[in-house]
Amino acid sequence: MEIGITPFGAFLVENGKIVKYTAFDDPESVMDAVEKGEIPEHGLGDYPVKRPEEVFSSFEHLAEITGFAATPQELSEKLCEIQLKRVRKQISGKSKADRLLIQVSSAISDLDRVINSLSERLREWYTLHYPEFAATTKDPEKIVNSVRKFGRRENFPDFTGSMGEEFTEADEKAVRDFAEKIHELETLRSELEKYLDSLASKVIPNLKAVAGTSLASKLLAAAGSLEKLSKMPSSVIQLLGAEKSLFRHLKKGTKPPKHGIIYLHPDVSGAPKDLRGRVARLLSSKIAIAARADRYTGENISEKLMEEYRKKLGEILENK
Amino acid sequence: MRFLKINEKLPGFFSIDGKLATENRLKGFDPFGDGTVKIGGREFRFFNPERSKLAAAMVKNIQIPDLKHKTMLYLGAAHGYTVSHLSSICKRIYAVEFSERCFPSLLRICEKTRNIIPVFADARLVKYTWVENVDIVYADLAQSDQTEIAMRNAAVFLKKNGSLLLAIKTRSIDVTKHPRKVCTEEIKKLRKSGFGVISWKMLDPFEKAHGFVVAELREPSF
Ligand SMILES: C[S@@+](CC[C@H](N)C(=O)[O-])C[C@H]1O[C@@H](n2cnc3c(N)ncnc32)[C@H](O)[C@@H]1O
Repeated sequence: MEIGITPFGAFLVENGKIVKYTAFDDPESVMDAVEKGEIPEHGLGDYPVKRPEEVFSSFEHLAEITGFAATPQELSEKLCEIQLKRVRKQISGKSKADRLLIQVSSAISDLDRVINSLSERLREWYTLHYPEFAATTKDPEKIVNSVRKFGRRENFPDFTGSMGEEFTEADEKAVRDFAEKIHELETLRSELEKYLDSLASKVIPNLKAVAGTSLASKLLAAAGSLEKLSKMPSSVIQLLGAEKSLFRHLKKGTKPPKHGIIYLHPDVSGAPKDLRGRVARLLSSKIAIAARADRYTGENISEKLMEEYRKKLGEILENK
Repeated sequence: MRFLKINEKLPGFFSIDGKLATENRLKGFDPFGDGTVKIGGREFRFFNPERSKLAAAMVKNIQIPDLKHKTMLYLGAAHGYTVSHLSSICKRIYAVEFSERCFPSLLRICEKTRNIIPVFADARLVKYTWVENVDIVYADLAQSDQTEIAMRNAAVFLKKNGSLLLAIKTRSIDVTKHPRKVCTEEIKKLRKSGFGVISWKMLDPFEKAHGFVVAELREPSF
């Protein structure tokens, strides 16, 4: 016994005969489910879902008995109408969702750049007052937080003395306000990051699993859209973001680039130097598959993809 | 009035003064500016072999199966040129395309004709398994694995003794090899997978380095 799922009904087939069926009243959601590899609720029992000949070669008859379409012409028109609606939704939904993701990801990159340069400014500024702290502290975020909290150097718990200049109250207020603003930008950044992460889970679950949210969205931004990324061969994905050095290579004969932004992936940057090219190639091939799945089916195949990926990565790293 | 010589080359396809045309089911339908002629209450639209590989195949006398009132799965519908003509001949066409840019035009044609069912999907992944079994699978994909994609779809959707119409863009497969050689290799793949090849030719001068194959599914062995 097996079950066939059509947009208008589910049919149970036994010995070449349809013995039972359920009519569907929402073909759109049935088609969504089928394309995602899910089985819609049908109530015909726990039999395997296949493509029985008796069902899939008699659409017109079955559409008639389930009340979906009385004539072959009506069947065509109904399916056409449903698909016009679905395709429009798929296209506008996809392009809107990936455009949103690209904007958020680019906003985060912009913030990174701004926060970096403001933090460097703060360091230089505060070095005038307390060089022993500002010039030797590596982590810029720590400088931001200390200045916010303590203001002048005398308020630091471990302050013992300094070669720097005195700050008036006005000097102190200005630098403190500046640090406060940088901190606000950092908070904004981490909120956007969480938001980006949740968008990525919905829009590009497979890319997210393979490349991580940050790299996945950067690839998307570099490609321009999920559609473009999903059509790129993996050899192009591997060099995405390396256009400048590729151009230099073609023009001046410098060494060809081995990897673009996928170099940001820890598996690539962390691999021994002579293996990086191979790891980058493997990673970009999985990214290509993930992008296609995200683009066209929305089906989450990340587990299978990651399993294959880890296996091959192990092989590359072992038989060097 | 000019006297026009009509002859039906194949059910649904006509030659009008030596030019290939289809008979319009919808009067005044000419979305691609092919030009139409009215003859005794009937309306014909010219079918341009420079724009459609199917039209080129007809002009080159490749043996095309009867398409009248048939169901079809069409892979690589693009802007809908060929399907717009087929819609007057076939009963129902599932038109698969994965390029967003094509859809404004394709959807407009579907809206008008009502028997072309647009499917936005990658034909390589075959996820649209709600589609019925069809009499004809037509593939014009211009991809390096176009033959494999066509065979995979035929394995799922083509009825027994149904036909596969396959346009082969040899430049997508191997630019270094002779186009004819690329085609014979693709045909070998078809034979190996249980297809009987009925007829095939290169499409010059209409399309450079393209082949067109008509095959029949005999013994599926995928
Ligand atoms: C040469 S054009 C087809 C022209 C069309 N058959 C006609 O005669 O009007 C090839 C089309 O196949 C589409 N295509 C290529 N690979 C595809 C795939 N894997 N899935 C769906 N469509 C694909 C391309 O986007 C392009 O529009």
